[in-house]
Parts: sequence; C-alpha cells; structure tokens
Amino acid sequence: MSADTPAPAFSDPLLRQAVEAALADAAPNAALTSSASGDAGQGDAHWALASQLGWVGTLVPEEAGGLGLDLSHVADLCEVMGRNLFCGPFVETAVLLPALAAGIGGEFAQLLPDAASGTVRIGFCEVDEEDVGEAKAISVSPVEHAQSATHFIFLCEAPDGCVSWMLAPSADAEIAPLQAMDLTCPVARVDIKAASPRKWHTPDEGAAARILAAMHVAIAADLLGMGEAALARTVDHVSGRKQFGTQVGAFQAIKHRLADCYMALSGARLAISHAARDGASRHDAVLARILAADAARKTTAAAIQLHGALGFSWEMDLHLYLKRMLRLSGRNGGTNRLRAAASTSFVDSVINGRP
Amino acid sequence: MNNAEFRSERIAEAPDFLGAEADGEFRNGLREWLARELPRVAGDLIGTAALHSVEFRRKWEDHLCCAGLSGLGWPRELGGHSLPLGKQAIFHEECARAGAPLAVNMIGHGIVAPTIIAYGSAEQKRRFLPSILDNSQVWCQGYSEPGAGSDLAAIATRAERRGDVYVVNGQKIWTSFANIADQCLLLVRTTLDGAPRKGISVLLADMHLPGVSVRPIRQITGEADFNEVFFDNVEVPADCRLGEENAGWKIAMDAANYERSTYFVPRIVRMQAELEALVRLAAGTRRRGRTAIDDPAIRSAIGELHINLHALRLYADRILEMAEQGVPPGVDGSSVKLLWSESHQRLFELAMEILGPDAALGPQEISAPAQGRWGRDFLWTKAETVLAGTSEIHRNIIAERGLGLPR
Repeated sequence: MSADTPAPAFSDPLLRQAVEAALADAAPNAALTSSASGDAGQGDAHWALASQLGWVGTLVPEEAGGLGLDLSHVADLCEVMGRNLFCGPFVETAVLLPALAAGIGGEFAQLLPDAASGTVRIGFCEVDEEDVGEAKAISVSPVEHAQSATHFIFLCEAPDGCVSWMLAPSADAEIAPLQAMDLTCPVARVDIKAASPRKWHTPDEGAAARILAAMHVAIAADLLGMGEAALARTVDHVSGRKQFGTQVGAFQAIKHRLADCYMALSGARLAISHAARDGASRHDAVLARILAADAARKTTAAAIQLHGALGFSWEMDLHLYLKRMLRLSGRNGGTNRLRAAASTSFVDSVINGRP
Repeated sequence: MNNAEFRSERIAEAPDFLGAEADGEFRNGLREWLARELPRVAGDLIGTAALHSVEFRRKWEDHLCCAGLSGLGWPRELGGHSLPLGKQAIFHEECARAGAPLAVNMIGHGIVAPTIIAYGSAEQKRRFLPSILDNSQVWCQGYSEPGAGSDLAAIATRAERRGDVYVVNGQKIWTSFANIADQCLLLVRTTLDGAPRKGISVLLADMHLPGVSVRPIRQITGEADFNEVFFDNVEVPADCRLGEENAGWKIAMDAANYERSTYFVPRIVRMQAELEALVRLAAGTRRRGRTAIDDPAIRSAIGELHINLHALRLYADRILEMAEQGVPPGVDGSSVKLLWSESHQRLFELAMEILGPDAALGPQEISAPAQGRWGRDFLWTKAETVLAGTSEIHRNIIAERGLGLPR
C-alpha cells in the first residue's frame, strides 16, 4: 500500500499487473485536464482496452464468451481501475449485468455475449417506488455514461427492502447531457417514454442480496484503488517538498494524518477481501463499501490539503480523485443511507437475538 | 501428553473439549464448561461490578489454570496444550461472551511466557514457566521510567555486574500490577557506552528481593492498577538475565509484538460483547418519552462502532494468520492498537451519552447502571490510547514504516 510496495492481490497478482500495465500505457491523466466537459476519447480508449483484453467478460460465464471468474477478480480489476481513473461503465456492464443474468436470467442473460465483447454498454438508473409500473414515464438524472449506453438497467429499492429491476434499450430513451462533476464520467438525463411496455423483475431475497453485494464490492474496490493512488501521490509530494529546511513529511501533523489514511485504506482492503469471498453476505459487502468510501473521503481530503495551494490547482489532477470519490460515494442512495441500514441491521440483530 | 515436569499438582487434567479437533466442537464444549463453572465460582457476584474486581479476577484465573486451561498455546514439552491461534481466539471469544472477567496475570501469560519460551535458557524455562502455568506467580513489566516513556530506549535504571549478581538502582513508573506481582520482566541499562539501544538488558527480577519498593499510583478511576517501583541496590542473580547482556532491546521489541498482536485478541472480541451490551443499554434507556436506541444520532454512532469493529476483527484475523506463520504483525499491529483503543474510547463515550444524567454517578456507585461499570470503563479507556505505545507513537510507526515518510 505504501508508495513502493505493491498492494496485495485479492485474487491473482498477474491479473493485476497486466491491467495495471495496460492502463498505465493508455491513460496519462494529463489527457483529462485540458477538457472542461469530459473527454469522450479517453472513455473510448479505456473501453476498447477493457473489451479487447476481456476485462468486461470477467464475470461472464465461459459459454457466453466470458472468462467465468469470480468476485475476487472483479475486486482486483476495479481496484486497479480506480487507481488509474478508468473511464467507462465497467461496474454496470461487467459486474451488475452478469450478476442480474445469474440471479434473474431472461433478457439480462441474453445480453451477456455482447457484453463480454464490449458491444453492450449499460447505463444504471436508480428510481423511486412510484416509477415502478408497466407503462409509466420515467425521468432519471444524473445517469453515468448515458450517452454511450446501449441499454439502461433500472433499480428500485423499496423502503421495505423489496428490490426490483428493469431493462430498457437506449432506443426507448431520450438523453440530455448535463455537466459532470467527475470529468472521467459523462452524465445525462434519461427519459423513458410512457408508452413503451416494460417488465419489472423481483428476484428472491438471496438473489437480490448477491446482485447488490457484487455491485457494492466493485464500487468499494474502485474507491480503495483511487484512495491508494491519491495517498501514494501525497506521500511522494510530502517526501520531496521542503520547508523550514526539512521535508514536510517529517512533521508529525502530516505523518499522523497520512497514517490515518493508511489505516483506513488497509481496513477497507481487508473488508473487501472478506466480502469478495464465497459465502460472504450482503451485510459484509455493505460494510466494505462504507469502509472504502470513508477511507477514500479521508484520503482525497488529505491529498488536497497536504499538497498546499497546489492541491487546489486544476493542473495537479488531484481533484479527479476527489470528484470520483464523490460520484462513487453517491451510488445506491449514498454512503450514509448504507451506514444507517447497516446500523439498523446490527441493532435489530442484537435486540432480537439474531446471530 | 503435556510434560509433567512443568505442571504442578495444582493443575488438574484439562477438560475433554480441549482435545476436540473441530473448532465447533471445541467452542461448544468450552461454552458449556463456562456456563457451568463461572456461576459456580462467582456465586452472588454474577451481574455485579465485583465480578471485575482484582480479587475475583485472580480467583477466576486460578480456577482456569487449575482446571488445566492455561498455557493454551505453549508447546506440549513445556506443559502447554499447543493449541493453534484460531482455537485460542475462540477461547477468548467465548470467555468474553460468557461475561468472564479479564485475567490479572495477562502480562505473565500473554507477554512474559512467550518471551521466555523464545529467549530463555532451559533452566529459566524450568524455573519460571510452571509458576505462570499454575498461576502461582503474577508478573509485571518494568519498562517506562519518569524520563523514558515513549522514548523507551532512554531508560536509566542501572544494573551493574558484581560477581554473580546485577546490582540494580533506579525507578520504574506506570508499572501495571507491580503491587501484587511476584516477578518483573525488567529493562535495565547495563552499559553507558554506544547507542542507547545497545546498552539495554532484560532481567527476570524477583519483586520480593530486598531493596524493591512499590508505590501505587491512584488513577482517575479511583483505583490503583499502576505503580511506581523503586530499586535500591537490589541484587538480581546474574542467571536471571534473559538473553545476552546488552541485547535486551530486541527482546523488548519482540515482547511488544506479542503485546500488539495476540495479546489484543481477547480485548477485540470483548469489545463485540461490550457493543452488544451498549445496544441493550440504549434499548432499555427511556428519557423524555423516547428510547435512546431510536435517537438517530445514537444509532448512527452505534453503526460507526459496528463498522470499525468489523474492520478490527478482520485485522485480528489477519494478525493471527500471520502469527501462525511466524510473521510479526509489524505495521498492522500498530493499526490494531490504534483502532482498538480509539474505538473502545468512543464506545464508552457513547455509553456516557446514553446514560445522560446518570453519567454524574461515580465509578464506584453501586446504584448506578451496571453498578458503575460504564463510568469506570469510560475513565479506564483514557489509559488505552497511552499504554502499550501512545496513539502518537503508533501513528509515527505507520507513517515511517508503512508509508516510508522521513523521520
């Protein structure tokens, strides 16, 4: 985790190295700094890599043209992608879609071969209960990577815990681009017309838990990776920058703040590793996601602060980590909703004597 | 079979569950044993603060040891049971779940014994280990001094070799259990030449020798677990030196590694039980028409602790895994110490918030909720971010060794 030691792999160190090397060649971050509106070219370059090298097919079964690997491999991929500020709907297409195909099948499973080849790109939309219905008009904003999506997947998590999913082709949608906070991720408003008929799927509790857990683990790993990258850059900076005749990294105020970041990221790494194992629960995945989001928040704030005025400047790129953290933390109703849900589930288990 | 040479006649044959192959069987057997034995030994003390008094802690520890439930991890040839660390963790977990109090001689069992096993001569093992095994001798650790706290290498307590004794002069402070200890793992300076770390030796010193005096220090809890220890021309036999002369720093650091790794496991598993007790406290506390557990701020703080405890358990698992392979915990040991002590503090701060006006009741007030235990432990946790390396020292360790920041 430190600047000079590579982070341990969740699954296969060789996979990590390969992804790391490919992304390092493809993605000089400087490409992002020149454009205020997002760089579609960057996203396309990353997606082409992810398709050619088979990353998008990680979870897709071999008979559907994928690699047939498991969640621990996804954790490795997403962490390295986070470190390298990967642009593209990877979690939606390569994690959520195969999880839905495994848990629900049907129209989700039919998309798998094209997803494994990178032709299908998924946009992910979270909606409220009142949007769920066979022919209702739905308007969602912001939707990440909506402009390049071939399909949209809609999720409704009802307050009672009931989870339902719906798939719609992008042909049914009107897409209006919006300004994005995170320039590595274009966003848009997606409008689905009232007339088009749609089917909502409600998987059983176990399947719903596995689908959501896969998404949480993938997002947690991305948050971990970008947090590690932000920390490594900050360690480099404070080790070189001198004031009062000494490296600023020798001051305890700085050491202690970075030690807290290191500790938070290490805890998140352990939790992700735990949640990516077979037999882990949705609760495990939620805890991993919270720990990773908190670690990334702490680390991106420290990165900007400890770079001094440089940290606030556009060309230093540090804002990309901060903005990615914001975007990922807001998924699935946000970290605080997950925190409240985790707390309730724990309190109930103690009071009701559940294990 | 365990080596009889190391096991006094005080120690009975261990209960059957100790030999269970499967973890589940071991856990169930232990759980049944604790459910039977703890109420039998504690009698009226169950549910009272006196269950955690030093007197009862000793009595319970004696009971465990005499029932053959000590030396769990020691090799069989030294009288132990050679249990893997996983089973030792289960042992501590079940003791915490049963509400059993912490051991008094934890320094002896958790820190001194592994250190003697690693560095002691055959003669020293024969001399010191049996009395730890049967709990007849309590140990303390003579480390900190008035001028050497976080900067431990600055210790000034001198030990001068004269014939076959070391003559020890100096003062230790913050020495836990010195007031009841029979023996002391004592850090002394044996030479003034060279770097401070290269002049330190370790003595296994008898606390009953002439010239040793102990003065308890009253703490903010009102109790006195810490002490000052004075050494005035104390003659410690030279064969009580552990390891080579002037090679004590490494021994002390290795002992600190035990402290930061396996020694913390009981405390981490205990915290799970404490957090559950806190949830029940909040669920049972009604104030101004509302139950404390329904207060969103309290619920959110409980969630935060639950999440931290999850991370802490995973750290502990990792450290146990590393220890099984003989790898010292290193930077992760510092992370565990920090996360444990700071979360533990937060847990009791939250308890005091839940107690509201009852927080004004003193730590020895028997009519307070849990007979004052919440208040007492709230105060005690203030020691935990200082003892075994302050939070500041551990953050330095993480920054320098984990992140490679300049010294």
